[in-house]
Amino acid sequence: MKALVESLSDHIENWGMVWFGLIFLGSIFNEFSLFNALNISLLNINLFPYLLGLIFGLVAKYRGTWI
Amino acid sequence: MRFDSSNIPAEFSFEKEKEVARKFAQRFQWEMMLIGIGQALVWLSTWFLVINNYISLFVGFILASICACLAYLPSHEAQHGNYSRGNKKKRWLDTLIGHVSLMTLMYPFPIMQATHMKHHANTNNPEKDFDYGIVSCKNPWEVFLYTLQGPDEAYKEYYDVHKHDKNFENKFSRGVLVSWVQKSIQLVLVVIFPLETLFLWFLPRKIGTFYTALNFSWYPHHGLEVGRYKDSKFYMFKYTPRYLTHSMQLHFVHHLHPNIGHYDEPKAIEELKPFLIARGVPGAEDIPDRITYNPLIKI
Repeated sequence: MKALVESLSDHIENWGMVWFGLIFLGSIFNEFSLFNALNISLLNINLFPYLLGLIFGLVAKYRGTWI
Repeated sequence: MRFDSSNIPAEFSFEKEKEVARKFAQRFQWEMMLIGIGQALVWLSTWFLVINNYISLFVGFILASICACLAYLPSHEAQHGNYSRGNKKKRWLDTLIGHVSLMTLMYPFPIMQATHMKHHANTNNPEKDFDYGIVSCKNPWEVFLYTLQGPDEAYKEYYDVHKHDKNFENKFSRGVLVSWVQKSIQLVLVVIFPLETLFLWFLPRKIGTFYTALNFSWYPHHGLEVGRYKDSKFYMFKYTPRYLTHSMQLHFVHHLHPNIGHYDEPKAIEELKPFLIARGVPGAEDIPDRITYNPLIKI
């Protein structure tokens, strides 16, 4: 159990910003039609806003900061 | 932090000061309980009202932001055990109000409790005070940027300093689990209700965090040294009623006697004023003789 919590903790520490970008920012961008201009759909989900969120998250991860 | 009492007259001894303070540390903090639970219920209601179109998202955002600004103080009393006041049978009240009140801000109560105790023990110490990142900001804009970014990196460093303390470590670890639950809930909600999550939780919580950091952590401690009687100040604002800043002009007395209830602080300060002046608390000479509903406006 402790090992699981530790590996989860490591994962969140390293990839938390990327997940936040993908899920949180992606969902927000998806709500604004502006970001739906490029239509790359999979299972009826427009992937472009999520891709944009993922890129924001990756940039934040490698910069180590959001701002 | 040890303090030198050799030059203090016997009538203002620490023991006498404590005796006076104790009188104001007895009452049950029912107002705080009401605010803590109340704002959380109002905040939860805004979700229902907005999702069902009873109120607009904008009105919901305003309500949620007000709730977020009111969320920290009731939990702060819980962090000090000021609801149970040492009664083990009532400790659940501290835990309940501590957790429920912080929902709006999405802070994990055990981490807030653990780090806040370290803040009290090490106020303004750059190496040990979890709040130092805020205290060292040069102006409110820097506080804003700090709170926007979040304290994650700074907390990791301070965690390493304090992790040898078992009690701290236990609370912190429990808090990390609570934080994961909170973050997971937010990530699920944002997929189902994207704009609602943004305007009823994410942005209000940023506003509430900035408000709390500015009034609780930055202004009362900024520019001050380390040491009991030296690390917090009394101050007045021009044209700003103290209720708009949660009466944090009086925060210094909380650092001296954390078990005094928030709404009992004005009366306690009136009686403690000679002690505070004798000890050289920054700004103590400016304390009015009577603090009633006087908004502490400097005109």
